[in-house]
Amino acid sequence: MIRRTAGSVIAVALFAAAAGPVGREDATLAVRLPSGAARLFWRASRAPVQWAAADARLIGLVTWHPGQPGGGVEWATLPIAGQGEAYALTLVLARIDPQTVSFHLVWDIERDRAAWTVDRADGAALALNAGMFVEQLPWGWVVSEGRERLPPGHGPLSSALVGLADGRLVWIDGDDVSKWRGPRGPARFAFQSYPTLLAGDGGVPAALRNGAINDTHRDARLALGLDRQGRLLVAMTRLDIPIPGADRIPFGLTVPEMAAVMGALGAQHAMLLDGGISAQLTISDSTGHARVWKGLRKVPLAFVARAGRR
Amino acid sequence: MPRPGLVLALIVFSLSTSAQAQIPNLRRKAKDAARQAVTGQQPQPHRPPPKFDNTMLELNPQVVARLITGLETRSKMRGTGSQTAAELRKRSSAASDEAANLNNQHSDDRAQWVNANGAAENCVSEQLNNAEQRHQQEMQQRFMGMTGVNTPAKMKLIQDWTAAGQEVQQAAMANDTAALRRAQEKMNKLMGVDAHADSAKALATCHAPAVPAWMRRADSLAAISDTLAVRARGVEGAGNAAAARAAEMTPEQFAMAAERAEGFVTLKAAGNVGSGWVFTPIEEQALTARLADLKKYFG
Repeated sequence: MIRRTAGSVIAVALFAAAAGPVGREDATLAVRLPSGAARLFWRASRAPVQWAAADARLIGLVTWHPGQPGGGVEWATLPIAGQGEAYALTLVLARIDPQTVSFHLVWDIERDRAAWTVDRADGAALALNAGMFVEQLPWGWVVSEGRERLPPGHGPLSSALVGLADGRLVWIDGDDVSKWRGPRGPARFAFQSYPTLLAGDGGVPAALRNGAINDTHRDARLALGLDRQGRLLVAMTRLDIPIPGADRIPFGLTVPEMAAVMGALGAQHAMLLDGGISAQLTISDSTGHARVWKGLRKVPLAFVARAGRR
Repeated sequence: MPRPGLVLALIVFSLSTSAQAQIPNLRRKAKDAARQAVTGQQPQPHRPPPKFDNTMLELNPQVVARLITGLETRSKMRGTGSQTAAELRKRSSAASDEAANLNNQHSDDRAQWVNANGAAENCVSEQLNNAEQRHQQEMQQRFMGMTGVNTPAKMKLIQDWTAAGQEVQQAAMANDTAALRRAQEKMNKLMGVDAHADSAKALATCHAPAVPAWMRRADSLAAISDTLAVRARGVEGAGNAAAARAAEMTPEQFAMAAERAEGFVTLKAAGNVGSGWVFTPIEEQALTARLADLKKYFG
């Protein structure tokens, strides 16, 4: 009995050590290797202030698969490990060559409710929920098919993506989008989101480093970025545990950790899109089969890439 | 039933064979082993409860009741014109749908109008350029004809012309569009140019197509739809703030509670509320008890 109790105490201590709270300074991110080992690529206490280039410890382990033929999309999944409930996550990744696709910002409200899900992507090379939402309507600036549907939102940690009529993409750090507005402005589509994850040349905003925003809350995350080759990068987290429906459970990374993921992938600019139960993504693979990561909520705005220039 | 000593030995073994930072595996094994040692139960799937903090409140019966109070407050929030966000969104959608229907019915017509209008705009631009060149040539000839005796009238024209030219330059450098327009009007007057007459003539020559009634209606409906959407969003924002106050939560706490409750309603409809991962037993009980109420807002 005594032996058993002592053994239990030791075992419980091990349990607590393994599962106990991890200090903010000790937070880490690692790639889970097929061998079961883990390769660390980020540590909060030594987090870069600026990501000047992709981190080979992460990007070197990504195997990109071609997407829909002619769709300009590559995709990958990568198992990673963070702290707490983020101990087993899958990163779903995509990068898009804007020269080979046309982008569409889909406004989808039916009657008085948001109505878009990935089920409506309809053969897209890639589609995902865009921006953030107030209740049913998008937050911030929305331009769709050259028409401004909603005026800009304001906040120091907002970013915007603008698609011009000639197909070029413009990334805006901050909330001043005045240059791209107007009744016959150059934007064919545009939307804002927040918080900014990376700005300038891969710089991590001070608010993500000094605790000005909640840097401990964990949630399913979806981020969009632009790399130094002008490609769009998408990263989504999904819980990777063996229970039914686990991939739709909204647990994941903190905001600073998501900034690290985007920086390590080589993003120069990046912002979060609505995660949690909104996050959803579909990518057509090389056979044309739609790989789908569903969300739990219908959203009013979707960012869709289709094969071929407009 | 496995013995604790054996369990510990297995843990030590696993530690010695996985020194290469097998973080997740080790953690899972340690947890499973510990659970087995303490409870005697076989390992279950890893199930940490949700972690509650300043943002994420446990959805116990009291919090769920407050959340529903907040959701009800939000749903009843009215903007100018005494309409709720839902009513404004509905009107916005209806206007947008009607505009889309008109555009779909006339999709070829719009394309033709856009092409015709584009051609007319190019033509007008060309006509105005031609008129400007003609005026400049006329002015040059006028100056050329001023050789000989300098009369006061000639001197005044040259002085006024030079002054207006400088005004144009200064306004352009200062990027002052109003001043530029005024200076240009002065120069036009000196040249004897009637810009309005030139424009009218160019428009008549180029046969700019009139905007068809259906297009005017469609564009008007689209503008109405956008205006209503902006108003709806304003009411949504005000509604969220009022809802948080009514629920006695911070806006962040209310947003998180509403999102988790919405997730519960959706997962419940799908038949699995997260296998104990997303909601504690207390939360599951509290949310299930108020499911019918929650469906009114998230159904």
